[in-house]
Amino acid sequence: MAQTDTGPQHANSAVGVAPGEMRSSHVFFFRVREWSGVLLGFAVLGVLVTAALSGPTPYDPLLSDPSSILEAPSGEHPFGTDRNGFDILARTFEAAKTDLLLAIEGIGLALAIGVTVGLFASARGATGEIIMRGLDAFQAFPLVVLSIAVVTLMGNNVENIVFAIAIINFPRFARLVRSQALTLRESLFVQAAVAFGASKTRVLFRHILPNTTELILAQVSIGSAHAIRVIASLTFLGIGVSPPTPTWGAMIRKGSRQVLSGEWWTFLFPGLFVVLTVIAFNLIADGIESRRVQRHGT
Amino acid sequence: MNIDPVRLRGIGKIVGRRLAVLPIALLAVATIAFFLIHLMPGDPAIAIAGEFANDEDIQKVRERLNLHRSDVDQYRMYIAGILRGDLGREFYTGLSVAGSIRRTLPNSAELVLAGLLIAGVIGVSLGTVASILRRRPGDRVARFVLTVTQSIPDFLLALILIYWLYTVFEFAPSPLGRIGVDTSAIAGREGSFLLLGSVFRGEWVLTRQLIGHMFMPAFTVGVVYSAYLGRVTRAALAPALDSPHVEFARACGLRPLTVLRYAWSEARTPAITYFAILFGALIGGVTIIETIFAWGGFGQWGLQAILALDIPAIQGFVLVTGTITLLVYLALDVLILILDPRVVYGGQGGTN
Amino acid sequence: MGTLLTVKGLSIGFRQYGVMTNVIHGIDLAIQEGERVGIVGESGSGKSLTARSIIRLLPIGAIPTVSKLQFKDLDLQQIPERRMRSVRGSRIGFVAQNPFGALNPVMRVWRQFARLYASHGAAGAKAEWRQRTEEILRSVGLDEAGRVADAYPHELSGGMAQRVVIAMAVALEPELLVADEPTTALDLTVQKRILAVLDRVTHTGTRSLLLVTHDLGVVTELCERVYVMYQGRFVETGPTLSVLRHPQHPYTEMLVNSMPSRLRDIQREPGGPGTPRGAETMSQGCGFAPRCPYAFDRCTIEVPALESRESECLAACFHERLPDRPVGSAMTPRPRA
Repeated sequence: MAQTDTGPQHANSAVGVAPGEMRSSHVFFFRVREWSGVLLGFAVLGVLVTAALSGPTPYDPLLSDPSSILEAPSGEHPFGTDRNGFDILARTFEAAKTDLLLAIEGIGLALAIGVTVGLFASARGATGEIIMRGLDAFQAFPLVVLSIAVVTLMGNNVENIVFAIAIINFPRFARLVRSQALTLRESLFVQAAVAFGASKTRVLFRHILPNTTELILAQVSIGSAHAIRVIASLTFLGIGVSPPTPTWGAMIRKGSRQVLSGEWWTFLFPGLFVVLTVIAFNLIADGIESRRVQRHGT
Repeated sequence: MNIDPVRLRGIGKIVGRRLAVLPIALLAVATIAFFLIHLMPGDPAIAIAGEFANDEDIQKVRERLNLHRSDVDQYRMYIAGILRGDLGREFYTGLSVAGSIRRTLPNSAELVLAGLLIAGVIGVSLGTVASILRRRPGDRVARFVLTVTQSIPDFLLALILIYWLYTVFEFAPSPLGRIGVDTSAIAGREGSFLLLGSVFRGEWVLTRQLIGHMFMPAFTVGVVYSAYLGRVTRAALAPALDSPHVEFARACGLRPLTVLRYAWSEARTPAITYFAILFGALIGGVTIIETIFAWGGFGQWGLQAILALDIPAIQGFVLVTGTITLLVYLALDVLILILDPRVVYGGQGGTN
Repeated sequence: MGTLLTVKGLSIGFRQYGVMTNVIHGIDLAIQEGERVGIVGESGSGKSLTARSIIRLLPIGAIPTVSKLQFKDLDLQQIPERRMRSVRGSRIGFVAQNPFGALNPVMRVWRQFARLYASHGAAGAKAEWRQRTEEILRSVGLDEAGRVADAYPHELSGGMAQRVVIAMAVALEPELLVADEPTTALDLTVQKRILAVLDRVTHTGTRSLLLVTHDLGVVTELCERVYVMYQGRFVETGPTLSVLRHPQHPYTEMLVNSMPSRLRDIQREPGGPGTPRGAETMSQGCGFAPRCPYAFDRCTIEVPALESRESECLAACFHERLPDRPVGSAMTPRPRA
């Protein structure tokens, strides 16, 4: 029965001291396993972005070759060609640029709006409550469908999808910021009441603030995953399509016409990339969440 | 689960209070629906009239939609219409909005129910397995499966299913609406609860046909949303399995299945809550699937209205969606009241 | 009177990053038939884990090792889980700390008893079970047995709920009753009554009791023998009266000196510098050394083993007998009723 004898440890071990830490290489192995999800997620995203920016095939994603229509995947065209003669591989990676950019912009905007609303909602008294009820009522409606209305009214181009994403996602950030602000306020009150020394303040900040950052990062990841799906759905329906700029959803839409005739590569590959990207973001979010829970508790 | 008269009275009081507030809540929903439409950016009249319209045409559109009147007037006319049961007429087709909703809602309802049933079976099973295996390797595997399932867009899964089951294997019937191209079997009944009706009347041939056509869309909904329910199940059940209640149950030597049921009685409230929330959200949320399968559903109708900027129809759509959500939450609260004996006296609890 | 339970060499560890950290270090425990034994220690000393390891109900991630775990004719270490499940409740009963945490909140009391009977394969009609349940409830002092049986747990007071828990624990007439801090979650006045109930259900002499608590007063009232636990080790054991009158370990002495106040306050006593560590930290030598007024060099290098002292006591200390210090306000153990 193994017993590890380490040197005398400091008394009053604070939360988070790992027991019996041995050689750093040993611990490193387990840390890597812990982080494997997040690393995988980032790896996928990294590969995607690099490939998208560098352009992996000699074919121009925006130039069609009418002589090679609906060709099955081959050495020439690893993902095949669509009904207009576009090389699907090139277009898939080109679409990655659009989709990812839209998602990031949308979530960024959602974050900005959400933090603002959340801070207002954390105000004392009735104002905060009213805002929260309003948020609840707002979320009772099918926001995806409604955001379609917004985009349609504002003009049917791709950029307006950013607003749709922002509208759908800002509530999650608002709630997060509000609950964190309330926790912070409450703990400051407690602290003032019991009159601890200044060091306790620093401890509170050292625990609450990193907790908040990690919470926000997790929500950014989850929101991005959600945003990629929504963007794909919206562009699939034909919203914000401006050919020939490709998006994954629009490519799937075009490919869907081939479902009954059997040219599966026209819709499967862009769809696969959507799935991979969403999984990547979800893995990152899961990793951040489990690490946060491990360190700070829920 | 016998309920003593004291508790029944307590439940009755709470339900009565909620029902009394209901008309006000409905009014609020209607008002929000109204403002959501009218506060949207852009001028709908211009968008509807099109690029080549001149000012006269635009003005005509405006008048037809009553947009020329003051907001207060429009609001009053709108509320008055609702109280009469008249939600106006669609701008493009002239059909009654209320009629269109009545025609399309049952199709969506049956699809959502079937889909949620499948989602529930898959999701709750996976979630239960994951929570039993918590902190052991199997947990990570189960959670990964859930993550993958959650990452597949519904329309992609639908296309893949159609490709495999219809195009390649010719196993499923054609993905065209509730009964395919030949609608003679349901002539005159379009827009009612077809599946429930056929079961009720014992028309088994028709039932089989309907189920055959429902399989692919319902399965799509089921798989995609099973992940959501699975996660919720695991999140609720895992801590329940670690709770002192379960520990004591084990210490008494209760059978493992009984112990699991004990844990479930603690964990069921969040699970049922999310189930209900999903139901409310999906009525309008299976739009894409309805579009692909030409289902004639509520979301599909709403989407077409939105894309065409058919203001009266959109208003009806938003109103009905909000109302359904409201009613679902009310039903959910009542259900929880009945299930959890702690939440009765003093009227605390329920969802927020 | 034979030996009911024998535990030898029990250790429990947790694994983090592939490294095992022990929270219980090779303890030995024995209970005779009809005997009432107590384990006394602060929070974090490992006493609850010890109690649970007897019925093999450890939390996920706990890794136990034991060289002997014998309950009468059963080798509890070897038997399969299914067999163990039949032992729990019917041969070894368990009383939890918080009655509202133990009882199922959405089920009426009689139903929970019914489940108990059903799981242990008891035959009989519903009416019989109901009658039996009410009998048992009355035997723990719940005179309105019918009303209690129909109630939901949250409708009962703390004391009543804990009586129900005790009733469930003894319903199938087990030979051993394990009680983990049965009075801690209750008001002071109620505690005495619950102790009386525990006394009543183990008084007949055919049922043994293992009582785990941080309160030396509780042990004094109920137990003939006591184990004193500190940081996962037994530091002293012996007949309760002897241990109290002549503590042979510095820690026990500190406990006795501070009676009747609760062990929680000991941390702030002037005689105890430093705070007890959680299970996470390890130290060399005797765990109590930092707080011990008699510690010398050997204490920080070696861990003392339990060795015989006078009057059937065992103590784990390098001092053969403690230097003379006034025993202070040692409470005279109350005579047994």
